[in-house]
Amino acid sequence: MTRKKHSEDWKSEAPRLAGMDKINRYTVPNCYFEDLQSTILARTTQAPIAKPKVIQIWMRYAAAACITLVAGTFVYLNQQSVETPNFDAIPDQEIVSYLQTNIDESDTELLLKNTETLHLEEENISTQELENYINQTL
Amino acid sequence: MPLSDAEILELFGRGKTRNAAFAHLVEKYQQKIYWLVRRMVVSHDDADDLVQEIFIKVWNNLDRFRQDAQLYSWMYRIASNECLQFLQKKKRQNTTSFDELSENTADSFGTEDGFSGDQIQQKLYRAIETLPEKQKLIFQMKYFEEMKYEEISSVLGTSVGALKASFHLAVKKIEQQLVQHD
Repeated sequence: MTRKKHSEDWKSEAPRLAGMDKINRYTVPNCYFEDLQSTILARTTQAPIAKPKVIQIWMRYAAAACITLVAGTFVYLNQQSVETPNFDAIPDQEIVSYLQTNIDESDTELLLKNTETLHLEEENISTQELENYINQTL
Repeated sequence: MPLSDAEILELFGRGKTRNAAFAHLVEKYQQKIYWLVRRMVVSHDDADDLVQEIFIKVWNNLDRFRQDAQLYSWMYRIASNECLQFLQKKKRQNTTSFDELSENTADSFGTEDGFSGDQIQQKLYRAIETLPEKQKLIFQMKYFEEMKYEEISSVLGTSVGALKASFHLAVKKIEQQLVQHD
């Protein structure tokens, strides 16, 4: 009783609204709800279930083997390319011989550039001296 | 005679009668859900699309429905969320303000097919359209659906006190507009 009274309270505050009937004024097309039910069921209970793709076991193993092979090759090649040669183990004479045989004039500039990064001060060799030496030697 | 919610859920849980159970559920609730949605979005085409999406969501999630809640409350919650999301999306997409949009929708009463009200009814529907989305939803549930505050609270997750305040505010606004337009 109290609950009903409370839920009807608004009627005294809004007599115009309270006096109106609550007939639904919207309309729908003929047979709409029969069609709606069919449409909903067609999109739910009658909808085709997507079958998961079956992958043969041998295909899985083949794919795994391919991935392993590619990854292994990549790692091996990477290791090869990052190995730094140990110049200390090569005799000086051998390096000189190699340079005399293989180096040409276009390498001079490159060598000079690199000398700037070396700590040559301690050796008391100026860059100009070194350049002269290279020009005369090579 | 329609099956009870408990019977529908039991049939649905059996597996073999799952489709039949869902057909019962659609038959039982499609009109209630449709009218709730239609009053919110006004357009029949929009309501039609939304109701289908709502039932697809119900179908996809009914397995996970926990029976500590009422089935209709759970479905109404899905429907309410869909309506509010739809209206918010529409508001974002529209370059005009939502107030203008509501006024445009309200202006269509009486001119659009699918509405058969007299002048005073048109005034009422126009006034409802000017309410903020959630307040409009609360008003629809209380005034047209005659739901109890406790039921609305379980659907919307809003306290009974807040619902009462919101409904009374909506009633005042609507009454004011009905009187003004006399």
